[in-house]
Amino acid sequence: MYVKVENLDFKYTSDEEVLYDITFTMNEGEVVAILGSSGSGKSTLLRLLSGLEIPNQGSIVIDEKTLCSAEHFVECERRSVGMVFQDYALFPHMTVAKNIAFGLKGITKEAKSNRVDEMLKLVNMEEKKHVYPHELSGGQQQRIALARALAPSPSILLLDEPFSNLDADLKLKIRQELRLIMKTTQMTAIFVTHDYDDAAEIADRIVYLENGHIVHEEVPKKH
Amino acid sequence: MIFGRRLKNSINLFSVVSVIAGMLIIVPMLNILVELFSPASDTWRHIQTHLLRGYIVNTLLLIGFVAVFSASIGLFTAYVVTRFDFKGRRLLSWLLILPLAVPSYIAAYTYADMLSYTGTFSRALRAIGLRHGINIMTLPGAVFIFVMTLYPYVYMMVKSALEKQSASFTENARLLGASKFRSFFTIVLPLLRPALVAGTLLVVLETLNDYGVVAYFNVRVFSFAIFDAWERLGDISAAIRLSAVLMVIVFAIIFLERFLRGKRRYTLHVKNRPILRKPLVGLNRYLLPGSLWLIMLFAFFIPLFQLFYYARLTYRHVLDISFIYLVINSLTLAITATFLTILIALMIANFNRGRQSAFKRGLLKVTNLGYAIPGAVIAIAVIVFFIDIDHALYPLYRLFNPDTGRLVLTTSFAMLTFAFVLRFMAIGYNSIEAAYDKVGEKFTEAAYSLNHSKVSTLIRVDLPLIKSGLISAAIIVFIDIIKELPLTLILRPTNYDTLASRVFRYAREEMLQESAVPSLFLIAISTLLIYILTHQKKKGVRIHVRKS
Amino acid sequence: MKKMILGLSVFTMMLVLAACQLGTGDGGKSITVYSERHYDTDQLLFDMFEDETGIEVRVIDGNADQLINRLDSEGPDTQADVLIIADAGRLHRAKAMDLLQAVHSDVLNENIPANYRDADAMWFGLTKRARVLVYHPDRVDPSDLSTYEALTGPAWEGRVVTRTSTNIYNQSLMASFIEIMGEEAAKDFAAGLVDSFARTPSGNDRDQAKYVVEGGADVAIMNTYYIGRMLNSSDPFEQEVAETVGVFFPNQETTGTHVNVSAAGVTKHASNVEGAIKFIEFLSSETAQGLFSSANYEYPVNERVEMDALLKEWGAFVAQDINLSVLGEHSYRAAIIMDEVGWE
Repeated sequence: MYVKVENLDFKYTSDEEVLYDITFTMNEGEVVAILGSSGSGKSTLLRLLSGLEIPNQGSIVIDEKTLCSAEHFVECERRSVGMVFQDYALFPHMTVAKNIAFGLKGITKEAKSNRVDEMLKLVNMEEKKHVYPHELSGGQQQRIALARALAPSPSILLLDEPFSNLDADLKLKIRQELRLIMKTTQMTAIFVTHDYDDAAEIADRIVYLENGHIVHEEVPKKH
Repeated sequence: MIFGRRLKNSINLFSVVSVIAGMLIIVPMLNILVELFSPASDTWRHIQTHLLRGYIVNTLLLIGFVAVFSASIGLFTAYVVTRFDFKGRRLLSWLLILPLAVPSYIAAYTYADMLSYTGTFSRALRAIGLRHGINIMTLPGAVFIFVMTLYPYVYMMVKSALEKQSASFTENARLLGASKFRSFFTIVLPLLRPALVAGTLLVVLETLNDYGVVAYFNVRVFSFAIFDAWERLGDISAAIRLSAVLMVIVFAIIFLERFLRGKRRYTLHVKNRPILRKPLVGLNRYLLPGSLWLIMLFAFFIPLFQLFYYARLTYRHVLDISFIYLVINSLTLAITATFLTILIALMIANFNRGRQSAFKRGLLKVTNLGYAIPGAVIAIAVIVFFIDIDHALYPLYRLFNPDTGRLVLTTSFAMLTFAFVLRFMAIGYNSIEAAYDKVGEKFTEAAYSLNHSKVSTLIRVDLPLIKSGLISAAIIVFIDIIKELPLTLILRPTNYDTLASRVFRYAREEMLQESAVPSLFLIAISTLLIYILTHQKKKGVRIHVRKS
Repeated sequence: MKKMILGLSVFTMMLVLAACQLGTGDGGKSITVYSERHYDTDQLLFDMFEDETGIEVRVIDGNADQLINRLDSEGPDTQADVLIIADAGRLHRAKAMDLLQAVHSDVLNENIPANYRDADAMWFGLTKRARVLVYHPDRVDPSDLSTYEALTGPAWEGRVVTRTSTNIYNQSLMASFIEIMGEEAAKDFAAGLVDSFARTPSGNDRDQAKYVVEGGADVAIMNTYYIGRMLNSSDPFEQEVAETVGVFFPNQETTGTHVNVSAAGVTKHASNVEGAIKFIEFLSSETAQGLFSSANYEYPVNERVEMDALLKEWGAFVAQDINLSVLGEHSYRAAIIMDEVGWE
């Protein structure tokens, strides 16, 4: 098993969003959708996987590395987990190229530049290399956020409500693009959404989350 | 016809007030600026050969060090207060603004006195057989005084920016493998740039405008030079030339910053997820709060204790019934001028919303000019301007009172009020604009679409929305006015004393002990206002609306 | 909010109206004084004058140049009747700018000696201030002190303090030197004095005395009345400093000690000339002069007045024998010279 999550419990000190006994596994290259209404705890699950929150108990193992267990916790900057935030959070003071290069470390300048170009090509945004995020549309920002998350070749990619900020017709286009990118990169990915169509379109498997519990899993019928 | 309609559309209360305000500010300045085109005098040549180099070097050194240190201290204090949790955090988060209540000149007199031979500090050291070699009446000493009394501008701006900075950016940086250290220097700090620059710029402008500290310490910078050329050398046109050079320096600094910024922006619409404060651990539990208290000690408590000590020695013969008038004068003056400043700034801010044009941008530059021009120069400009107005209005005055003197406005407190409005418009305007920026234009447009007039929208929709921004703008302007010196001294009407002018009078007569009581009153009033500013109840529902 | 704005607007209007009311004149019942002096004793004297004559005294205080400039800008419309300034040089400047008028008063001529009055009767000295040497008795034997000029020798290197060149008293001191010994010699004196400085000038007169007691310097050049006022300071430690130092009147064998005056003149466009003259006459009277001396330790110009005990203790001295108008004539050159020799 590539991803192994066992008995994950979490409770915010103030918030009501909680998770109880979350257990699931994933194969390498698999794309899983977590489907749930708002407040179901799906975003919190991503934050736990990425290391932004510390679970009360349970363990997370990705690619044979234990990221989190009773006696062990790997800080988020050492996890090699890529994440695309719901609001993209592109660094506003950096150009597109600088944003994408931010996560590339320990390689030569030239290699960095090649990797940036490669990523831009992947998301089809070569011409926007030197512009600032405020000059991009919402869909473009999302693509750059995706490129930025993929650039350091993370072991897993997390996407938080990737389509929530997009117009309906744009959403369809991006959804297809995203699926294509997932397949070309062979990325293991988890994305959370509240929309069944999104989940069915992209995911190999759908996990239903309700009030902090996993209630159901299914393999969507492919169109 | 189309042009006519457009013109009619653009004429309203806001545009009219804005244009009139712009004219009122530019006209007095023109009187002064024409001096620049008169041929250079011998005095100017003398200044050029013997003094100018020193003025420029000293000014750059002074503002350079003041900028670096106040930016560092402001950033450090704001960061500790917003990112960490510790005992006394809430208290410190508003105490750290208090040094703003201590006018720089009072801090300078107080510190110089404490470190002088008869001062508290020197005596305490002598009692245990020690001597200190500190001479505060130097350029580094002036840097210390300005940093300690002005860093709160940076602190306030950076603190509010840090509170608004979304956690998304730093979380993203860390997920991309950046250490805390790297994410601070590549993400947190650069995103604070606008706030840091705005705060530091205020500090620099206040420093450039100060006369009390540099005159007493004999630090030869531009504000000193302007007075010196005017008074000792008796050459007002040389003084104006010097202030023109100063204005060039100021604009060069502002321009350079804008240029370096390029197309970069520092905000992007993201979900505002506040960053949770972390509890302090280990040695930092004592070190960080301790350093904040240390700053408070030097910037506020030490001068305050010294003033209390002197007040105890002198209050018997200083504090009399006339003191009530000093307080009343200071308050009425500051309240009136603050109210007018804010009102006009509000009109201009309203005028400037919506579609931008070259005319609007130009007007804005003009109305912000007052803050960059030294107080003494504004004073000359205002006197000349008011005499002209009085001459024009003289026939009108005679209708009311046939025996009236010609100079009615010039001898009234309208002149001083006007000068304050001119001088502090920039501060008022910028805070209001920032408040409007936060709200966006959606609500205003919604109100217009519901057939509310501009004024009705302003009162019923905009004002409640920007109320807290408005109050903080008013309080900052008020504190600036109540401690202001050169304008007050030069332009006040006869027998009109304020707390600040009384402090200065005693200090000039080398009676520092006697100046303690009015100084304390001044600090108390400002302290009270800062307390109100920081303890406003946040009421009303917050609704998130996306800014377009 | 609406009510608040309305209320504040009404309030502002009332204030402005009230302020305008202030500006209206009231015939011969008041005089307006632009004064650089603003000691508490002066206010006492103004009150006494009001009680005696029923003429109300209105004051704007400010520094000399600001007042002169304001007077100049206001031109014929000024409300000022009297200009009081603590430096003969600046009064001369006002006179040169045609801001004063000649006054013929037997009382003034009798009360004030001729060299402390303007030759054209444009201004009248009220009090004298002597600029003297203040020394530390442990480190300086007064018999080693003689003249201002003597402080420029190598023996005094690094031992002398005084205020900045921007200080009006130092500027007038230099102006008097230009008058007495010519520009060349005055410049040599200034350059030599700068070499003797113990520190870059800073601070006020009291700070110079403190620096001497502290041991930073041995001799300070400062005005006498600051010593008097330090002796009566509300801070006991300042009293101690003043008691420690000695006061020496220089140039007694030669050109005399430098003396400046604070003086008053009637403005050219005064609306109440009669009241203004009465006011200056009052300030030269024995009552007023006595108070200047006893409360502020200035030397009275009126020779019939009993001096304060402290001033008596210091004894009579020889003052520079020049008409003080020359201080104004040379003040610009004095400033230039001080800049040229690097007196900061």
